[in-house]
Amino acid sequence: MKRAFCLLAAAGSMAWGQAAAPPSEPSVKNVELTVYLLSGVQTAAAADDVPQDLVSTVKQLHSLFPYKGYKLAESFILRGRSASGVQNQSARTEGVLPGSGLHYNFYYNRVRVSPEKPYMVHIDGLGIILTGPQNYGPDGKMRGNNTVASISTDLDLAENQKTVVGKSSINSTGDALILVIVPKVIE
Amino acid sequence: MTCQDCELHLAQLEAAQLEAAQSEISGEVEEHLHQCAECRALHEHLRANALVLESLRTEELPRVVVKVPRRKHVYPWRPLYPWGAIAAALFALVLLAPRSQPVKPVASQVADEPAQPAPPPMLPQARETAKVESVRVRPQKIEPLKIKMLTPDPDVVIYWLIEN
Repeated sequence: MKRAFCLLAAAGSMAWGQAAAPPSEPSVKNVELTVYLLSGVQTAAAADDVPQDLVSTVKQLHSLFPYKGYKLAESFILRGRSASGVQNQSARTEGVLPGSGLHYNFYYNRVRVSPEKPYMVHIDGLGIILTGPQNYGPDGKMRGNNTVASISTDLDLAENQKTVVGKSSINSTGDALILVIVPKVIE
Repeated sequence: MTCQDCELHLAQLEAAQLEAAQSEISGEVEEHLHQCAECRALHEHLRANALVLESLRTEELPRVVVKVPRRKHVYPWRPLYPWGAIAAALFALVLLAPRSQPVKPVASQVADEPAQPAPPPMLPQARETAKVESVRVRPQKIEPLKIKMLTPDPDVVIYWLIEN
């Protein structure tokens, strides 16, 4: 009788331990990307026109690149969820750049977050495409490629760090397309 | 001393050395030469001949080239040389010829060896599968060169993309 009671106690404690064990899957986190879209201008009369958050970033850009000024074209926040395993958690946003009329399409395929702090955010398939007005022929069909500039890459970012992704000579005047991305992990 | 003894003695002296003879003259011979005119004349004559012969000894003779006909060797066995070579060749052939051994029947040799399987002929299907399958390869998109630049500000990292 005593032996049977011990066996029952052992089986019960094992069942309780299995139920209390946390799942082995990585926890899914929300990731918020603050994105600034800048243009590096070559003209001599250009002056910086950026928010206060980007003053230190523009200062570093001035020390590295010969652009006369940096202007903010657009800023937005894109919020998504980190992907677990091989699944994709893509996100995208689009809009029109004020003043130029160019259409932008910002997207990524997947965001992964490291399990430990400080968080590292890995973005797969990050990209932005700037397109101009679409040309249509007399038959009503689109003609040609109206892409003005694009950026496509994978990135590793530290949380709350300003990561600059740039590309030069996007037009005939040699201006630059610059993205400043600040990731934030929301628990 | 008689003249005959004196002549003999003078001849012996002349046959020996002239100076020695000169030194040996003294004594009985010199006394005889002083007394005998003929022996004295002989002595003078012999002495003059000796001096002439001494001078001729140092005269250099002209070089004379003498051609001596070479002696022709006679080999009585020379006509037999070809026959000897033929005999040596035959002897060598006999020595180097393989010794005759008892030959096994061919059929028994084949039966003793293990049968090796012949390689299978390549089937037409195998030939078809051996062909390299043509795979359509899409041209890979060339990724831009990405340069990472660290700045003095630890909160700012710059990636610059360069199109290839």
